[in-house]
Amino acid sequence: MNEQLIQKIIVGDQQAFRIIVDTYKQPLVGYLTYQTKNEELAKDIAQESFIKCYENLSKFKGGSFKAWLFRIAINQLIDFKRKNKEDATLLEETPSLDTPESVILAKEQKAVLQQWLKTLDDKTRQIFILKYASNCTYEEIAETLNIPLTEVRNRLYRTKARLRKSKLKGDMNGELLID
Amino acid sequence: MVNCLSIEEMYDFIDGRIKDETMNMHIQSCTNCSALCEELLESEHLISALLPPVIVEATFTNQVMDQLPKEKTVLQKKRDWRAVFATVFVTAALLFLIFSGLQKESITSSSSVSISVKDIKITDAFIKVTLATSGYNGDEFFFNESNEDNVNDVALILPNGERHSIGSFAEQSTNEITYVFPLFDVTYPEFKLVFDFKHIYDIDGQWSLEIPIDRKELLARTENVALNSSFEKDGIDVNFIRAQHGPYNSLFKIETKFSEDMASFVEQQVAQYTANLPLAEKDAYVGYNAQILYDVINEDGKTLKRTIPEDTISIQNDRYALTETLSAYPSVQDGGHLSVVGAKFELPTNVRHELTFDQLPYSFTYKDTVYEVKLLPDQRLEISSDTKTTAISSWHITVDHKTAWDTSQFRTDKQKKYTTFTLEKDIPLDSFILYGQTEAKFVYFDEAIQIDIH
Repeated sequence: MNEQLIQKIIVGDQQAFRIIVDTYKQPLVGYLTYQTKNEELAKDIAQESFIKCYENLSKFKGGSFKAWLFRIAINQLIDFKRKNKEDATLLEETPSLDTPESVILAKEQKAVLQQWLKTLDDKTRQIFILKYASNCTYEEIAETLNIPLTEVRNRLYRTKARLRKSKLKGDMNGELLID
Repeated sequence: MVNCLSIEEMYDFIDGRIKDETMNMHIQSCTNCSALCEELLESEHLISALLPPVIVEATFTNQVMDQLPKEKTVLQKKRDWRAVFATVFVTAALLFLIFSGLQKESITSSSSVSISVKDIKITDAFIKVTLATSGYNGDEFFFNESNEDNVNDVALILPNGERHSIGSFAEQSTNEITYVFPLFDVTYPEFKLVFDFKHIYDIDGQWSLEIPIDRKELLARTENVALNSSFEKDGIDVNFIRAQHGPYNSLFKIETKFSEDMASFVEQQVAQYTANLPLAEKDAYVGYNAQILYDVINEDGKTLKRTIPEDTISIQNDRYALTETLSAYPSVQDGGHLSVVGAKFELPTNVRHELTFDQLPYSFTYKDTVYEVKLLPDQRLEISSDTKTTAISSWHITVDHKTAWDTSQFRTDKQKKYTTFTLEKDIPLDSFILYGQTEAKFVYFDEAIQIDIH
């Protein structure tokens, strides 16, 4: 993110923050939606995160702005989960996401893949979501999750290699894919 | 000759992490590699399809913008210089003087997590304190962004017991937090830094620590120069308040504001332009910026590159002036000067056109320049005018007194300057109001003002 743009916002040009919201709303809401499986909740948390981001903008110290924003969102999400422990079911509902019609994918295959996604461990799933739903680079993922770049690369590679192996064997029941 | 790619390399290639033309050519010409590439691309599509993009409406942006704290500009008066220090810090970081002999005791609390002072560095410009924690193995950051702001308190306490809040800039990793306190406005030779935490990571508790600071020796090597010189031209006031030349940094404090006459003039203009407008529309006429234009020149007369060429100072039309602490320049500690050439500021304009979309394309003239307004595909509206003579620097569009645009882009070619607005998706393409909000005005001093750096 442009250093000058941030500077502009810090010195009081509130409207310039609009550019930040527009740039990151789609990847951020996307990430939160896949993490919470609830699009409305995801949007609420994303809004809170943007406001937090605005309030703390002067604390941004360089590095990836996207990763910084995502870390704020992850903290907001953790906070939400903590406050809503008694209402944990909210986060365990089945995904309400509709795949766009333009995506042509055999129903069965899709179901199997979705099953596969569920079998991934939490961190790997987060990496997949950040990469595919939020379009983050390896560097941004590493900074967001506070893990080394090589770990991002290895987890993506290993998981995809396993997916490929089981696909080649025609065995997509997910058993082979569990970490 | 390129060998066949491993699967790992192929993934890197697909992800765009390897950009190698010979590799690209090899994949295209090798049956094995192109088949592998195709196969992997197919799985990539499958995974992407599993995680389709989530559609976020344009109204989302407005909801966020509406919820932003309105008092931002007021807060800014107090906090602005901290942001500047955040950028200064990077260049000055290598020049820390390690200050030894300070107490480094551990502070424990009722919880199993304890905090200790890991490192203290102090220069003429700032203090950097690193705190380390032990006993916590979770994933949360020390200072959770979602904490209530007033739970954790950091302050400066003078020998007479007086307590001052102090600006800080915190950087953190999981088991460490580093605070940087700017000292430019702190004149006391001795004081204590007091940390009082009540909620860290996700734990409630009580952690208190005090760090005594003695900077008599550093202050003795630091020269304070009261500048108190004021320059006024064409309604803009630039006041040089103070310079501080220490063994490590040179810092300056400059205040810019509209002169009394100019502030009154701006107010009158706004009052006049908005006299017959409904209240909801008056918002389109607030917030004017001024920027000091200056260069930093080193001992050899070379102009140094700066990441932010203009230090922006917001001036609202309520005679709001703001002081700015200019960056530290360790690279010119052998001498040099600041050369302040002038200032750029923005004035309100009375350009306001009530239009319907049927009237487009539409053109009007302001101060001898023709402005053309036209509608582009995909709900976009473009305003173009001559690059050289364009006066208006910012625009605004409303429908029913609400902001009607989502994003805006600027581009310039040899002839024209273009501003393109993407309009909100859900607004009716019926009637709208176009405002030319501000025009830029440059004031150059007859001679650049030179301020020496020691």
